[in-house]
Amino acid sequence: MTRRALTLACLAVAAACTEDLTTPGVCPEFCPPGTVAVVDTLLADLVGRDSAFRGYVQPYEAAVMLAVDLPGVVDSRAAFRTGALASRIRLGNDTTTSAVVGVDSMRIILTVPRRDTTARGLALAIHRLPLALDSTSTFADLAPGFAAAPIRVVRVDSLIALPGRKDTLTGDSVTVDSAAGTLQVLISLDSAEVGYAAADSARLALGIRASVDPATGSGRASVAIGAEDNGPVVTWFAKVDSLGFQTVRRGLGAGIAFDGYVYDPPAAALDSNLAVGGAPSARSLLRFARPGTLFDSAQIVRATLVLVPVAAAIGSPADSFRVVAQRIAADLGAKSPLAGPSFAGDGSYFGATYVHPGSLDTVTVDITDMLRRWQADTSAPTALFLRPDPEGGVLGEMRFAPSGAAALRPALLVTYVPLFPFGVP
Amino acid sequence: MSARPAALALAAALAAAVPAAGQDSQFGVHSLGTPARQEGVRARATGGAFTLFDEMSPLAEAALADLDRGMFGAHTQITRRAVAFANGESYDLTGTRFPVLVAGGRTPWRLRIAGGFATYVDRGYLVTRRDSVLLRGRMEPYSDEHLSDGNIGDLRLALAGRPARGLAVGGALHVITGSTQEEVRRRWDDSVTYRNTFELQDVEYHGFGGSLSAILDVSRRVRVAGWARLDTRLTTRARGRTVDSTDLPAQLSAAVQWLPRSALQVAAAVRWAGWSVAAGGHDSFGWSIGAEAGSARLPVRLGVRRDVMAFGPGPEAPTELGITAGVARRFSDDRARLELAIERVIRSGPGLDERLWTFDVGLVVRP
Repeated sequence: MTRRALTLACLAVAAACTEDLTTPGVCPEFCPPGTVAVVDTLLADLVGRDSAFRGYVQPYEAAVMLAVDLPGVVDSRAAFRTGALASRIRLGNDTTTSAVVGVDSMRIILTVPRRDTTARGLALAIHRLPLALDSTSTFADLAPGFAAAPIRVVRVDSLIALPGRKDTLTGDSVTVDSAAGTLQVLISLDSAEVGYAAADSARLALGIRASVDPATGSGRASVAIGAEDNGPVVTWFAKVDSLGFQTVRRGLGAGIAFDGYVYDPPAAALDSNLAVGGAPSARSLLRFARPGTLFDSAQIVRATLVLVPVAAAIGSPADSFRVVAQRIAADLGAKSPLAGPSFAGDGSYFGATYVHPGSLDTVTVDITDMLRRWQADTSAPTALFLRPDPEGGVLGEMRFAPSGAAALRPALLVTYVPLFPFGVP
Repeated sequence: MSARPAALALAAALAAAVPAAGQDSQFGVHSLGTPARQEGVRARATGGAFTLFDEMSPLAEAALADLDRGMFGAHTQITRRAVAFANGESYDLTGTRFPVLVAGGRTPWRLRIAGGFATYVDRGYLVTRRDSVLLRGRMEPYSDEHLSDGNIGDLRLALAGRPARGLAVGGALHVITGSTQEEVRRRWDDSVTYRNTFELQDVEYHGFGGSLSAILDVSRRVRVAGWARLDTRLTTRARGRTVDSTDLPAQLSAAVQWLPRSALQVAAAVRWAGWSVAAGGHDSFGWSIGAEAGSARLPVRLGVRRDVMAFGPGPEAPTELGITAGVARRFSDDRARLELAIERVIRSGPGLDERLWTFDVGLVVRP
């Protein structure tokens, strides 16, 4: 009896060892004292010692070549140079090589990741340029080449309108990736158009100008053509001497030795404002104070960097670009290295927003995770770079008021929760 | 029965119990908490009427004077609580607590000594709240959670003796100490734009007190008892600094016990605590009537009590009515005692009603 009673008692106690104390609060009568306070305030004096620097990404290092024609504003032209073509190639399976005696035709594939879709009658004019084209070439250096008659004008919008998006007469065609918003333009040039200079090892320098039909569109042309890894793909179709009896056609890829763009007028010199964008790209370094009330005694709920433009970016609507606020790993001034993600999915190293050419609206960038990171890592420099994205791939340049401009200086709109008053009735 | 099952039962009770509050109430959430009834299982089964005569109750120093050998006891309390707000919402809550532990024995002199701990104020709750706040021109809805886990405890060292044959007196020093681990969370509905927040903090409580009690044997069948207690201010510390200091009440209690026959005991008690000295508190007054009948080996207990509660919203204090019953079983040649009590409590106050079932399991070992 006693043993049974004990066993039952133990089981009852063990079975009942659960907790459920949850009730919704009927406040304030039946809620605990103290509430989670929320402070939403504009901190205007947090940013200081800010500077702008230029030269991070040069036009010939950018991921795109810009062909832009904004009359009276800027004129930018894409240019690239192919590598040398082999003078002899193998035709069979043995090691015997045959001489390249000429070219039959050439195909160029251009990737267009960005264009002004509001412009109608987009045309790309292909010009032959001097082989001396390199990173030191200026707009003026290349002007004579662009002044000459183009070797081909590809009317992109007309191609898009054709059945199969192909011109059966010239062989030009276009592929549209509407999901990605990109184009691929295939241009076929015959031997007369490109020529073949054995003395130059078939090296070729070409330039591209963009234009639109002023009668049907805005008159502003703006096209970004892929460069670097996404650059032009050039294929020669060469004539090869086959044992001295006949010629055969062979496709030969020609590597891109150089790509870039030149533009006029050059980027304006930096002043006391915070510049972001342009080419070569400009960045601005913003340093933040570390007030204890925010960094040591609060939980940051939302933080927004507020920037007031003093000059709008130039460009067509297609030239909108991202302004990225990216924290730095070490404060070395203009040469401060950008911080990256500390782990997969880490978003605390940057915040970004789009800016639009011609707009003077206040720009806001969410940097909540960055500030929370600075809270957690007290050794991290509380500074960030404002940089454009794609860097070097936009001619537009935003200029924001610096910390020295009392009324328009960069500010932080921050929402935070101060320490909860534990134990206070 | 050997000592092994008894030890097993005690171990199970201790392991299952959580060193937290005794019998919580939503009425105390907005204030210091819910003052605990510092009663053993026997006293609880009689509605608190036997508290001043029960050596297992932390209020009864004088009752220790009749302790003839060492004893150790603890009890576990299981509570099921139905909370009904005036707005029509109702919720069922459960909790398991460990409100009392007492150890006592003889000294080489004519004094008896006892120590242990009991819950002084319960502070266990988890309150959720839905609301919204205007941020940057938009109403942003959120959910808050405020969890408090722990209590304010009462460590006691008591001495008792009989200066005269019909008079037992006792006194105790109390160290009021304890902590609650509190968590506060805010979850935004738009948690992508607004980051959720969380804070965890240990809140510590400190205070001291002293109590005196006496039991006078008026006759062979009638005894009367009185008890008084005074405490210092209760200091609250959080984040390493003092954040609050609260007055604690003076407390008084008196009881009479009548033994009309050998197998029947009847007792009545009144009690008062000046909780109005604390913020939002009310002076509490209560009475109890209880009886214990049957053999010493298997007594049956009944009781009823009514109290004005110490904390509640508004100027009108909530009240509680309790009806209790219990049974005990002695075994191992009276070296151990298993005690059970069940209580139905009805609390009523402005804006809230609570209905509780509490089940107490106690074990007293007297080696």
